[in-house]
Amino acid sequence: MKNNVMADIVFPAFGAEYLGCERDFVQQETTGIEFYLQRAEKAVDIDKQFIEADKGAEVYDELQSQFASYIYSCIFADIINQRGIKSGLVAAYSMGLYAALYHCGVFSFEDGLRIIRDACQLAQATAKGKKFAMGVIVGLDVDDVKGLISAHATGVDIININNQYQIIICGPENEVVKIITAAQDEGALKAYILQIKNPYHTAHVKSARHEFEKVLETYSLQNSKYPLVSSLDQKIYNTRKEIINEMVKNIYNSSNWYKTMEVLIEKGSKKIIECGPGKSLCNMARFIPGDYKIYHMKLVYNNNFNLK
Amino acid sequence: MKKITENTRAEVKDIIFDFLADACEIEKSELNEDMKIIEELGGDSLMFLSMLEIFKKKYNLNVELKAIGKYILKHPAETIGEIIDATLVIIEYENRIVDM
Repeated sequence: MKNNVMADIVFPAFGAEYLGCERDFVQQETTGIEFYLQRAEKAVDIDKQFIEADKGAEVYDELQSQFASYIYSCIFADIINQRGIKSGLVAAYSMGLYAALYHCGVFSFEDGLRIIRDACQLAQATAKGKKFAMGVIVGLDVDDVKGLISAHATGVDIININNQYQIIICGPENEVVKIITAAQDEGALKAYILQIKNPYHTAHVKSARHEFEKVLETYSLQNSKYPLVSSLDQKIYNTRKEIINEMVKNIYNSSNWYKTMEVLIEKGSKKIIECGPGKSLCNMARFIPGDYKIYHMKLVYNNNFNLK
Repeated sequence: MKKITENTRAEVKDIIFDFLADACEIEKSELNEDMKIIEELGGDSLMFLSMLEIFKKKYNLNVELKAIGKYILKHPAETIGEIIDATLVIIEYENRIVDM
């Protein structure tokens, strides 16, 4: 049954805890995940067992975790389209950008997988020989975290501000560990290391940008069908050139999810769908004030796609 | 210093159970105090923050987040029961929990 609902669509990053029912939803709403996995297998080397197992938070291999998140996000985007939900603004958290761009018609499902592979391999090659880590700090503000970084570490950056209370940092592993310890001593409610090892969104992978830009030029990329709100600078982009620039900068620039959501809300977002596995963006939204409602995929299903 | 009574504990427990049932999409009757919020209910530290906001308003608490963080570092709270107990300490001592 088709609905007549308009919603803004946001795409989560990989590594989020899955709801556990993603695969069941896909089986109920489409011809099944196998159709997508067969296409994915022809494009890149995927670990089907891992992807089918719904184990998103277990980042045993960053590339496979990205593939898994991308595939589920793309399937959900197709389901949303088929169910007649009209897309308004689109935004993506970190590497959720690729699924967002698939939804926006910038590239095919298969090319999205290839671009993820290329970006991941370039980042890994650039960071080779060094150990990096990402960390999460909950309960300190941005100035507190900046102060800790300048006092205790070098080469560590704030790479995302999720909301009022949650900040992501990245840098050399030993330096990130110092900040996590200092954050706990400072009174953070929680501070811990993530499983992600690639130093995305930092200057540590900036030298990959020219190569990545060249790689992107080899793909068939289109203008975006929907306005994309950049999580890097919160501007709205549509054109092929702007989208390429966004993909390149997304590798090494920090982003600000809090400000991105604020822009969506300022522009009138009332209904926002988290289009991907898990509910990480819904959780972040608890501390992003505004007159809107955000739905993860289970809520979308439970509302029979009416978003009431 | 606020006086904590059996009624306060019952009230705090009820609020936390209501919150977790809603946030974790689980029947309130299925919750018990021994459950681990992160491992068993799929919760996160932001949930604790959300609950704190509720209690700060309800009991008009004067307590800084950093003071709570320092307390939690010394007294980790993983189960629902431990969160209830930590909340009661926060309500009772507010910013002075940092010295406990």
